[in-house]
Amino acid sequence: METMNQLPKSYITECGWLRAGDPTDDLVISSRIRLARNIEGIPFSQWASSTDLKRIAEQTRKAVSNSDHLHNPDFYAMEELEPLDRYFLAERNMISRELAKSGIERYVAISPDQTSSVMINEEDHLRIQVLMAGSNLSRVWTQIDAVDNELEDHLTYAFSNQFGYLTACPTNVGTGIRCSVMVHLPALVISRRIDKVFSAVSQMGVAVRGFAGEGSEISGNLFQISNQWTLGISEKETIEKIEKLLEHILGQERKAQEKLFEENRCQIEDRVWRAYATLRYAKVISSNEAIELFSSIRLGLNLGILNKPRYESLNEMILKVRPAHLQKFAERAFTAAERDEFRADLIRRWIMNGDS
Amino acid sequence: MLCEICEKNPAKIHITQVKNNKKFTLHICHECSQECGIEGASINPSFSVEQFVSASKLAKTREESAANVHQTCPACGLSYGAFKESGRLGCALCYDTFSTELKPLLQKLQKDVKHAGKTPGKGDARLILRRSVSELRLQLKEAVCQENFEMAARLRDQIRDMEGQLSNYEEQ
Repeated sequence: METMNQLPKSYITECGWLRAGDPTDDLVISSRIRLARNIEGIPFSQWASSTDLKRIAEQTRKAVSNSDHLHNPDFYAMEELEPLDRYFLAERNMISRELAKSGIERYVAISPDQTSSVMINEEDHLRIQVLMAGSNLSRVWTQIDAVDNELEDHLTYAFSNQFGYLTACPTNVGTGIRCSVMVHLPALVISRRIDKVFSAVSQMGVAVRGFAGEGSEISGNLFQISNQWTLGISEKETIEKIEKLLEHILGQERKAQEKLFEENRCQIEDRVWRAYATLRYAKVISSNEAIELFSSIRLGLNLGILNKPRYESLNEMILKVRPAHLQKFAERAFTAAERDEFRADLIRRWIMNGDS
Repeated sequence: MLCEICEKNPAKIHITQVKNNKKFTLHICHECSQECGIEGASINPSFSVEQFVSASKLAKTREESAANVHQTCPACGLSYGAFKESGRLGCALCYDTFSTELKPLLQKLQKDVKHAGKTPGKGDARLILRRSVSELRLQLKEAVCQENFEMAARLRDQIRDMEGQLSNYEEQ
C-alpha cells in the first residue's frame, strides 16, 4: 500500500462527510463515532518500540486496505505530510490533533468519500472513525460496526471477557466507543439556561465540550455531546442514550428559541441582521468572530428571519474559514493579519455570489 | 522439558506436593520461580512442598510475594506508579496485572466493571480458546505464587487440554 504525500485537490473544496448523512439538519451539525482497538500481544503505542510500531502499522495497513467498507482508502504517513496538510485534516476532524503532531509510523487511512478513517498508532493502535452530517448516530454505527468486523477478520484485537476491548486509557476500555454529536444551541446560551441543561446531563455519564473536542473552548454556541462510559454499557445502549438526551436537549433549544423570539423579537432580528451586515461588508474577520457571526446567521435561519444561506453551505463555511483550510485554499502561507483579510474576502464573495 | 508456566525456558525446578494422598507435580524454570518468590534452586522431587517452603528460606509472606509480582507488568515492565503518572497503561496484560488497583478506579470512571458490549471473534472457536489459554496461564502463575500447587496442576492440565484442541484446529 503506497502512501500519498499530499492531499488531493478535491479535499480543499469538498468535505465529504458534510455531504453524507443529513446536511440540512437545522440544529445538529454532525454525528461521529470512534472505536479504540489494539492488537493482542503488542504494547500500546505510547510504550511500543519502533519495531512494535512498525509491526502494528504493517498489520493494520494490510487489514485496512482489505476492507470493502472502506472502499480502497488513501493512506497518509504523518511524517510524509506537510504540517499544514496535517492541521488541515485535524480541522476537518479526519484525524486528532495528537496524530497531527506525531511523526514516525503514524498513519491515517481515509475512505474516498471522507466519511470513514482509521488512525494507526494514535493513543491506541487503531482509532476507527465514521463521521456524517446531521443527527445520524444509528447509521454511523452500522458503518463503523461493519468496518470493525472486517478489520477483525485480519487482526486479533486485545480483548478480555471482564474488561472488553483493552485500551491504553481506562476511560475507553470496554466498548472503546465514543459517540459525539455536534449541536448548535444559541437560544439556550442567550437565555442562560445551558448550564442547567448540561449539569443534569453530566450525572448520566455524558459530557459536553466545545466544538473542537477535548479541551477546546466553547465558541459559536457549538457543543459536542458525547458518552463518557464505555464499560458496563453496550454500544446500542450508549447510542440510544445519547439519542434520547439529544432529543431532550433539542426540544429545550426549540422551546427557548420560540420564547426568545416571542419576547425579544426586535433584539433577535437586530442580532441576525447585524451579523449578516458584518459578514457582507467587513474587510477583516478573525476565525472566532466568523464562527460567532455564523451562529447568529444560523439562528436567523432557524427562526425564518433569513431564508439563505443553506444549512449545508453554512456548515462548510464553518470549516473553510479555519486557518489551515484558508491557507490550503489560497495555496500560500499567511501572516495572521493577511489571514483575517483573506477570510473576510472569502466570506463576502460567498454571501454575494449566491453560493449562499 | 519446558517450564509449565511460560513454556519458553527449560524447566529446572521440580515441585511435588502430596495432599490427601494425591500427588501434584509442577516443572518450572528459574525465571518463573524467582518471579513467584520461590528461590531455593532445584529441589529433590521427593521433598514435600511443606518441607520445601520451610527449607528454602522463603522470607516473603504470600501477600508480599503476590504484591511484588503485581508491582510491574511482566509483559511490558510498566509499574503502577508510571501508570498513575501518565494515565496510560502499557499493554493489554496490564489490565490483569493491576486488576486489583484498577477495579476501584474503573468503578469511579465507568458505569460498571464488567464488559457489556460486542465481543470479537463470534463463532471463531480458535480465538476464544486462545484467549482462554492466556487467561488460564495468568491464573496458573498466580496459583504458583500463592503456593497453591494443587490448583496450579489442575490449571496446567486444562491449558494442555486446550492447547491440544488448538493444535487439532491447526491440523484441520
